[in-house]
Amino acid sequence: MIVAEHKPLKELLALVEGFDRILMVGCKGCVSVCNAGGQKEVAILAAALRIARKRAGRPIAIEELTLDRQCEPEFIEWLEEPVKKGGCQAVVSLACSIGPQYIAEAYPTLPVLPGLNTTFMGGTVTHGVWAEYCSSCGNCGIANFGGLCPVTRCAKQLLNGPCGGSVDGFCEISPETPCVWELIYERLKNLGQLDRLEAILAPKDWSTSLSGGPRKIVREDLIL
Amino acid sequence: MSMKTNLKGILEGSGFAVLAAAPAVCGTDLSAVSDFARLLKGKVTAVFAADNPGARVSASALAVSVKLLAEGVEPVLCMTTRDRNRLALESDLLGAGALGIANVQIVNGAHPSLGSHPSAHRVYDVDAVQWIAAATRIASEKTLISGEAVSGDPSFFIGAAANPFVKTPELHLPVLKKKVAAGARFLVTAPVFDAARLATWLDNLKKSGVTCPVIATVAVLPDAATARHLARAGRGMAIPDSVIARIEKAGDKSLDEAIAVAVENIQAVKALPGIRGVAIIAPGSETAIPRVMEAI
Ligand code: SF4
Ligand code: SF4
Repeated sequence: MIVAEHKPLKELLALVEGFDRILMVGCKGCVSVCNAGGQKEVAILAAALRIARKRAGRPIAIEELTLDRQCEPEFIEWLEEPVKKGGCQAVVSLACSIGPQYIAEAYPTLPVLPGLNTTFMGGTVTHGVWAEYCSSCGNCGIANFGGLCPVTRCAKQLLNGPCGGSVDGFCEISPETPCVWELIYERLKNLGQLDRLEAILAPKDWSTSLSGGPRKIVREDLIL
Repeated sequence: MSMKTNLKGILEGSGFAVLAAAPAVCGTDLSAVSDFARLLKGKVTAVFAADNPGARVSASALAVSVKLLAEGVEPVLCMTTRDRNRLALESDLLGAGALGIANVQIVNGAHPSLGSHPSAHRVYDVDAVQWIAAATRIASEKTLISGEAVSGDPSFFIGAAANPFVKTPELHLPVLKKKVAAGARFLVTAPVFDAARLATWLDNLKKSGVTCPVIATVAVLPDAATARHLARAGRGMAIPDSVIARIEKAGDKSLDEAIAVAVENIQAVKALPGIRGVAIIAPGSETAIPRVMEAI
């Protein structure tokens, strides 16, 4: 899923400065699972903003709405009524940052503000902890690495084995970040594939990644 | 033109190489580099021109190499894969060849988060193994990674980094084997403070079939606080507490003690089979290097 976290309240207050009627839109997708932008978080953040603005003597009216998803245009259409009826001056999206961009496309003259920092593509490690596993390079090569991704999980995205900086199984960047190459080694050992460590992998073709420019998939068979 | 280098001559022959690292200068006045070169001219095989060492910005390794050449000292151009993509690496290597720089030391380099610009975008387009292979091919096949031909007659003598003090040598030895298979002709170790551990590693290296010459790095530690920081910061520095305590205890004379430690380490590593040279680093105390060299 896409993992995100809400922006600090101070930053959110600065973003909505100058508006006194806004719409805050959550998303029931990934960001709801990682407790960043679901219905509950919309309620909490909206309340926090209202209280802070009231205290500052500049109250703000915030209408709340949570869409099934913000990454599909048909769900964005649900905004039509609250935007028109509510007369909101701006929308704060609590979806991953695909959401605010879809809303911006749908409402060319309406200011759209991101309420979240979209952080990474990842998974739950334990309750309240998420970690990054894939950075969507567009050409998955993890079969070479026992199914683990050095492009994302090695701080230097080394494809030919570890650097000399790993300390007691952890990465040189932080004692809390496992050195993925230690994990890859264990996996390859368990799989009886340690010979894979001997093969020199050629420079990766990054043209399928964001380096090649914004990406798009066209599935002719699905186009109506 | 097949460039002859002293370093290559010594390592391919039977001599013992003595290298030192030039001061890293964060600025445009490279007189410290020229002074350093004059201080060591005739006493060293070659001098390393570091590439933003420790992920801290300093005047480019290419510029430092040119200064060294101008003083008649053979440079070893360091290249990290951290800051430049394949276009920039290839272009700098061609430039180095054009300027008569043949020794190249290729490393992944410390992660930017450990250095002076932790908010920088990391690059790592290619890793050290890939860049060693590509740099080797630029000389042997006269082609870039893209397959495009290069003109002239480039020739490089390429080295790689090795950390003998990692806890999982079984995971790191294959990388070294690949670096050598890719074209590295010498390995430069992380700073050595424990010759016995180095000896065990050399033995394992030999058993794994890697026969290329090894240059042991010996460091003059600036002071106890820096030593402690380096030992902790996860930069592959295995600095024993006893060494830090010695330098700390020396108080005002900490540099003398750090030099004494370096001298002892040089004497210990020199005796090990497989060690074909030493590289002396003394960040911030480069002028102490001749004193250390007296031990060789
Ligand atoms: S190799 Fe690419 S696609 Fe596969 S997990 Fe890593 S980043 Fe994701
Ligand atoms: S310590 Fe491990 S994970 Fe970190 S950069 Fe080095 S090889 Fe990659």
